[in-house]
Amino acid sequence: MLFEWKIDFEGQKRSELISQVGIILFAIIGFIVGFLLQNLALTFQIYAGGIFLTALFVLPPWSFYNQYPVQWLPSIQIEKDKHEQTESDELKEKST
Amino acid sequence: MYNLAQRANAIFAFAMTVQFGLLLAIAISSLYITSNPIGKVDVNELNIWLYNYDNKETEFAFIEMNIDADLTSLFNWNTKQLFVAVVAEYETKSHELNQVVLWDSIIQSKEDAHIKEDKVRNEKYEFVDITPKFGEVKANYSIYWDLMPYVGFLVSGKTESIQTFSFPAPNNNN
Repeated sequence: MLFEWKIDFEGQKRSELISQVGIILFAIIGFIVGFLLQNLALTFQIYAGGIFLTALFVLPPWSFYNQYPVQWLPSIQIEKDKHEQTESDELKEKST
Repeated sequence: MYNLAQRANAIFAFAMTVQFGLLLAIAISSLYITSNPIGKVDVNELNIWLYNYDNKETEFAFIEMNIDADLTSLFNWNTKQLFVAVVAEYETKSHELNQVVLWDSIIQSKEDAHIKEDKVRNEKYEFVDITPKFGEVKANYSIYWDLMPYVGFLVSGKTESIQTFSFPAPNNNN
């Protein structure tokens, strides 16, 4: 996919926290500013702008979200299919 | 939050939830904004004429009044418009509470909320009792207002009414 924009697990945790705190924060700021200036349109302009800014911070895969890449175990080389077969047979015997 | 589509969906869904919270906060907080609407109705003239209506000789009242009201304090950040009406209220022997709308107006901005109308007549609405005759009644004239908000609850109220003179005898009484 062209725009998959994956991030790592630690990044997912961060992006979720940033998005939720950001959106709630702009809702509160919008409410307070709108109430003080008695302007309802301003409240929703601040809120909409806040969602856009939050999206800008959270949607792209910034390097900030990819600092803890998953460390995979080294791959195991299997020599022959036959060897694998005998191994599984041994396991069967053990279990019975 | 793994890829772009999931993050976009999460942000959108959360923003919608928070938006409903924001709307609720606006709706509830608007109920606590204090206002001080004042207004009075002065009746200059009140004439009664008899006309035939529904095969009955019926009293029609014709009123001329001055309306002076300051409703600017009702305009807060969540006020879309006001509906204002002058209502005559009176008590008769057969009916405890009678309310007749004599004049109304829709106010859409704070600049228009200071109402000063002279020599207003009940041209739009007929001033008749539910029975053919008013009899000797005294009516209160008060200004009712309904506040329509952008978000939240409809609020209504009325300004203090002033007792005025009792109804005269019909002008074309035979």
